[in-house]
Amino acid sequence: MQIERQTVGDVTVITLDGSLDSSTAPRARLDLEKLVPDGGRVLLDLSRTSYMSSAGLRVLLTIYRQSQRTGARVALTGVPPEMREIMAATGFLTFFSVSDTVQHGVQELTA
Amino acid sequence: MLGQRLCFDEGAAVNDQVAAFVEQLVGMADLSTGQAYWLRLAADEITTNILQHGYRGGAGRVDLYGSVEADRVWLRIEDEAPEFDPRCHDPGPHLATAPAERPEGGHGLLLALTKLNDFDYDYTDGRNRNTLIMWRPSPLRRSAETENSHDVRDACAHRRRVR
Repeated sequence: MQIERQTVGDVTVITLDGSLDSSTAPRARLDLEKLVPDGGRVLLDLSRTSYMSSAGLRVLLTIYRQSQRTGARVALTGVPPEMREIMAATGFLTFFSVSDTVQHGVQELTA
Repeated sequence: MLGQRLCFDEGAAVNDQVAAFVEQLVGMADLSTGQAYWLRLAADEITTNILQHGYRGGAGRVDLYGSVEADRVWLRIEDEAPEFDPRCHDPGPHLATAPAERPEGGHGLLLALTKLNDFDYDYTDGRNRNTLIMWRPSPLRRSAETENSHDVRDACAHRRRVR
């Protein structure tokens, strides 16, 4: 899994590229914990995430809890249909606002 | 029939090997993208659960078998860990807890069983045998899928979780 970070205005856009499973999740979790700024605005772009298992959900839960502690705002964009179903079935869609595109996600986080 | 014996040492990565096996089956079965995803997810979650909980993170052997039939593709996962029927995992209490307050784990078997067309389990000669079934796309099969849709966890009502 490759993790890319860019800044769009005041928003940190983090793209997760590849498979997020029990092999890749531990490293992804460590990387994301460092990339999510305290009190910042973060958009996680999953449009290039090819696969997510429950290990990936644990990563998202970790980031959500970190954001709650630090006052960061975290949103998701580009969530593939199967991952959206996974998140809906487990209640994870209630954690995050979800947008279809990076542009819309940035707009929502800066509104 | 495809068959593959996977021997995992402690800490070994399982996901890529399981994904490659599922990909072989999917390629032979003409499953939809969504079906392929759910079959991989189920195989991944069950195998990961076997290694992490059945073998308690240590070394263990997992055998994968699979076949494509006229109306279905099935994938069987066998292991020699203590008896455990995944249908006995009750996600109810977990899901009843507010997401932000849940334990981090506990979603894997829920995800594994939710989207399969059918699932079977038996414990024979000291081996757990999990059989994952996806129906191949066809108008007749899609009709039957609607009529027979059921929660595979129902079959566990009388069983006792032993792991």
